[in-house]
Amino acid sequence: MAERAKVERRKIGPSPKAVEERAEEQIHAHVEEEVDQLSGSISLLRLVCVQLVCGAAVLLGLWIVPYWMGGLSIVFQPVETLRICVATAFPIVSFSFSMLRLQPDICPVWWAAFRGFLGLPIGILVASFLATVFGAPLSYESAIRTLHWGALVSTLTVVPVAAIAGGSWPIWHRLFAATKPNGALELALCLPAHGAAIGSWVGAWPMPLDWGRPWQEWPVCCTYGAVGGYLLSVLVSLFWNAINVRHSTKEARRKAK
Amino acid sequence: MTLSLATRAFSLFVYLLLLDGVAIFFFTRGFLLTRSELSAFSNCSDVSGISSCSVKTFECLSQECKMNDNKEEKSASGPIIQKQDTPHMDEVADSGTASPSDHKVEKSNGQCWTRPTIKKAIVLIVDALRFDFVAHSRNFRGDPKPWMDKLPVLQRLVAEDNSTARIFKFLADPPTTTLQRLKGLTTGGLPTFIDIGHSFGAPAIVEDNLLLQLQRTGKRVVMMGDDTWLQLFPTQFSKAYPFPSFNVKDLHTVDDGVIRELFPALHRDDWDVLIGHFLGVDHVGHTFDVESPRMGEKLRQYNDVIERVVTLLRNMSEPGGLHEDTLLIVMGDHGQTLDGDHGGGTPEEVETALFALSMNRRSGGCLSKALVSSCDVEDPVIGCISSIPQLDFSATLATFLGVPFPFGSVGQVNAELFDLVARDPEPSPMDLPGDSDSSLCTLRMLERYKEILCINSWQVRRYFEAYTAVAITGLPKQDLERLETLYSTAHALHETHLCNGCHLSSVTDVEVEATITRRMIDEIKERVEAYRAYLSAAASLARSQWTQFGIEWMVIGLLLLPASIAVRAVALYRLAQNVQERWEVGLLPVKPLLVNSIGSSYPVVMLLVLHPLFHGTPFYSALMYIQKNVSSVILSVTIAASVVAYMTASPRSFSGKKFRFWTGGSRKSRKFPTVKQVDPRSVVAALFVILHALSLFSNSYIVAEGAVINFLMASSGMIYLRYAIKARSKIFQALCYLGFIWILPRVHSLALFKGLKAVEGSGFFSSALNSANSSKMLLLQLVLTITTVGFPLVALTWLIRWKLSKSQLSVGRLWRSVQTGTAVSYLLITVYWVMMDLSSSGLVSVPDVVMRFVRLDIPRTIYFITCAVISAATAREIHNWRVLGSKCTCAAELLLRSGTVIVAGFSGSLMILMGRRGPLMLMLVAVEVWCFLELQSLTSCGKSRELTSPDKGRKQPERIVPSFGPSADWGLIASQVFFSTGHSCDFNGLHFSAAFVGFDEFGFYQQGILLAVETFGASHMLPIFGLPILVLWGLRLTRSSARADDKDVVLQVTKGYLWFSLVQAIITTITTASVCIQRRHLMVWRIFAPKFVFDSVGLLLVDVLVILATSSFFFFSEQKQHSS
Repeated sequence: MAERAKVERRKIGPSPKAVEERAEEQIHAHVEEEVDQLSGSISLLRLVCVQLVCGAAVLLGLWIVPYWMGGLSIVFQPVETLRICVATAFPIVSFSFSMLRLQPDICPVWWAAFRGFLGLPIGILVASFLATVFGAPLSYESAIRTLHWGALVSTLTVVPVAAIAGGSWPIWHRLFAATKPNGALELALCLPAHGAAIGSWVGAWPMPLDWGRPWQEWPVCCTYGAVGGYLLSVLVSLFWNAINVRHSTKEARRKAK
Repeated sequence: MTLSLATRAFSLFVYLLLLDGVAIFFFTRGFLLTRSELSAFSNCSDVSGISSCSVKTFECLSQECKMNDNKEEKSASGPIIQKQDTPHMDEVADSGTASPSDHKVEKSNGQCWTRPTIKKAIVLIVDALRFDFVAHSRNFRGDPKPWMDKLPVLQRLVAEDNSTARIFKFLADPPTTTLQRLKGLTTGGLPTFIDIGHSFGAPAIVEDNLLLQLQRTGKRVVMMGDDTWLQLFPTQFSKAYPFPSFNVKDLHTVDDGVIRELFPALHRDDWDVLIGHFLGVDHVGHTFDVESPRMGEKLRQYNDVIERVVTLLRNMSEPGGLHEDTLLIVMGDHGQTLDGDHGGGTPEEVETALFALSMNRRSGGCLSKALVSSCDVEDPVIGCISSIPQLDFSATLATFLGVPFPFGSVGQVNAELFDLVARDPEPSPMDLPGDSDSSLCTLRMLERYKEILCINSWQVRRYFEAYTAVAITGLPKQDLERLETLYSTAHALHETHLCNGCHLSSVTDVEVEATITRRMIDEIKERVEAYRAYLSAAASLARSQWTQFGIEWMVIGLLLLPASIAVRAVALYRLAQNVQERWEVGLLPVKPLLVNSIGSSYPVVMLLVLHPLFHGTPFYSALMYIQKNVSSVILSVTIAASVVAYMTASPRSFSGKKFRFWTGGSRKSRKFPTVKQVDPRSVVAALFVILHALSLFSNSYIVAEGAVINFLMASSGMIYLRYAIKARSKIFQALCYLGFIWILPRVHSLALFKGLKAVEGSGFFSSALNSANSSKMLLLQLVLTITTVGFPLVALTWLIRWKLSKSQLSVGRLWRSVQTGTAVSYLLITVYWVMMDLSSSGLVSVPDVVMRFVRLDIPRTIYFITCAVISAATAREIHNWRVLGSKCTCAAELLLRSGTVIVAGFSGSLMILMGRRGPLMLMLVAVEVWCFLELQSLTSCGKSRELTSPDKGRKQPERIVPSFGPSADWGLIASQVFFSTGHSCDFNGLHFSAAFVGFDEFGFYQQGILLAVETFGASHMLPIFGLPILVLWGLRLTRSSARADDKDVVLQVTKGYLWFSLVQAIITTITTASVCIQRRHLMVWRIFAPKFVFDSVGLLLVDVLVILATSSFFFFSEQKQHSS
């Protein structure tokens, strides 16, 4: 029996339990390396400012700037509006999150912003592929729309992380696979990104309905969903962080006493 | 009871099948009204059977009365009729020379059933014409609405001359959709959702209908407007100007087309019946609503058209003119609600209007004085507006045109319309005073009307007789008997002699004659009323049978379906209690079930036996109702009681102690899974099931269900990807899984599979292909076939031959024979397609014999191989179990092996049925499923820690939840396969061509089976026979250190099946509920009802297949008893 079990184990590979444990160990190791740098050195006020600026930038880019530029609207000219929105929001997001970069002594601001810039096309490709998996149409016109939508979504999700963490795989893993953000900054990265993704997932629901409204077109309602989810989760992460800070300061005071 | 777990599980599934079957049976009985289409037709010569109808009671007034004995009178009546009819016939013949068709009619013995009263009929149909569009606004309460009084010409014409123009309220029968209504108007029947006919799918009417009768008697019909007519009557029109009706936003194309063609046609003499179908009002209603100003514009446009038509007709209606005997009818096919919806049975949708204008000014007025019909609307200006059921239209128009009534018509000839067009055949005798003149006219008209009703009743009775003889679900016997009594009463009345006062007719006294006339009128009226009573009763029987939902049956069905969900849930809950003593009894507590279900029918029977005691109490009517449907009531009571018994059989009662109501179990065991116990993946799977279920309440989501499923699949794929990345293993498989989710729905829409001709048409390769010569084309086509058909087959063969053979489970002679069988059938499929290409290219002339062999014998060989493989597998398993059964604990192996063999055996037949893209689809699905199985290790491993914790000594309670995720995802994959193989929950989505793979001629059963296998094979059969693979794969992963014992395997597989069928049952229940809620929805027949049919058939199929799959449990159950 034992031999047989061994054979089977070899066939299946290392037992999944072991795999998971090993994975967790690895994560812990990385976490221990970087956790201090993340939560310690960044002041919460700066984080709040950055988040608010980014939220404002997205709102500005989606509604106000297109309106100034000849009354464009997301419903009727989605491609142009999304292009303007990304052009407005991306520099602001990329630059303001570069301010919060890890290891500021080694890594200059322009390098962090450049990392964000590199993250954009990768994010576009991933988001667009996923959108087509979820059922976005494949015709040329729709593909253009998909790419623009992907640009907006990756501005909201991938770019901040790329600007802050660069190619640091453990952080990416922790934020997007394990969903175990560590500290205020990671929460401020993880929650809005998930908010944008889930928002656009929910935003796709009204699309099949036969109401015949222009905003049901791809990618209008998904854009609404993404932006709505992003803003909502930005607020949630702000509150969360504020509560945590109060809590920790209280604890600190108690300890001090 | 000492039944083993396996037997109990098997019996549980049988019980669930029974439960679902009864629930769906009851719901269907109330909801899906079915009617059989008869292929019989009415003929002119049938009239011999109704000669007695033309006994003229009237004769005795004008002729010498020969009342002394009946026989003499009867024999005399024949020549008298001849004499009577002669002048009229001459008239027909005279005018008939003008048009060849009338001439033809004349040649075919002139009169056919009834005397024609009009020569031409113009039927203008206004789609979705509400009654209040036509009737004056003063007839409705409240202020005039913006859409009222927009057709003043109709009002004016009626007000001018009430004897030539009338407005009626025209009552449609639900379903009030155009197609069903046109069917009803022309056949005179009540089309139901499923008319069981002889053609699959094609909408063309195969029943006898008015247009067919017109065609047979040589009348020419011209149609202009809605192209639905052409779908229904592809060959019956002498000329047709169809316009597309599909685009609801296009308000004008159809109407402008009709108007353009209508006026020239009115000047021509190449038609006898002209049908113009306007769609504008319907489209305005759908796109905007009734209150929109566009509705007013549309109606004003129609007003002008009708005005012009009437003027034109009037100009040509002088004696001898083209339209001397023309009848103009303007009518709606159904109404609409204020939002523009229709389809249901609300008064707004059902009430439409009919306006009739006879060009013949001599006609009318005599009959209506005698036969007062009930007034629906009393208009101060135009008088009484009475109502006509649409059922009567076909018989009435057939009478007017002198053609036989359609065989299946159950309507009666309407007296008032008849009065409008029928002329008094004789000029009134001058010697009679005015009063008597009109009563003579009345008498003569009544006489004719009675004759027509006699024929009418005879025809309706003939239809009911033929229907009961042929139909699958006949009509209730007692109702038929009641009808028969009515008919015989009417007929007996007809046969008795009227002229008992005739001896007075020699008296020339005017006063006396007037008295006699009046008495005659009364007596004929009595007969007419008797016939009308029969016809109304027949119509109401037909209506109750074919149009009214049986709400009580629907409610019973809707209550039983959740009960079957609850039974599954309770069974799963009890499976989780497998630490308790004799827990498996809870899976199917036989004794409480039997006792309760049999015992429950006892009070019903007692009540029925004692029902005279309750006479006079309020219960009595309920009791009578129960008595009427005693078998259904007992069946539903029994089932309900068994469900209650199942739910209430407490865990305590299983251990043989006391039977108590539910609370018997200890507190601990009743604890529901806590948050910690529920794994996130099951929560997500439950979310998906809920989302899917909720989406079924909207018709848009049902239409887009393929996309919805794909969306949910993609979501689950994302979750697997996350798991994979989180665990840092199997990322490749997760990405592949996502990729297949991406590819699968898109394969079907590739033009490549429709053959090269389609590719050429699609324009992508057209330039390249046009320049290529034909041999190159052939080469290309062959390459395409080989790559799309051959390559996947090779891949699959490789998979079966090498990949699966490596696993220890599949050794032995059986497996080798399965391999050979599948390889041979795959080879045959490739040969089949290559030969098909060769013959269709036209380059190589393949002998017919060879093609016949390829077309017929290759598919049949493949079917044979499938059957052989599956039966060999079954025989082999039984043999194995006999030999080895008691020695090894090999339930897992047996289940895995039989699952694999059945799936592999089925694949050949499925591929050939699925057509050119079958092999590629199945290969993709196979790889997708492989990825999915691989990914199972990610999520199931972490959860099994406590399960196999050896140090505890005793077994931990089994968690029920973790196996929910895989089963629900398995169901999602199954649905995705269903939709991505090009199916949809719609009867037009059935792949009828698949039914003729390997067969040339139509046979109901063999073609039905092939179609069913093609439709449900890939999405229901394969997943269910493959489910043990999923469950045991997971089990092998979790129990890698120790082999699972048989009982555990049976438990896990049962759990998997229960979860799988639970999801199906939930979806079906929600579909059923939504179809019940939306039964008056516009799209109920087009979208909801087909979805319901597909889902309920799917659920029953799942139940049956699960029973088949779990029948192999018996091998282990007995073996367990051997060992214990």
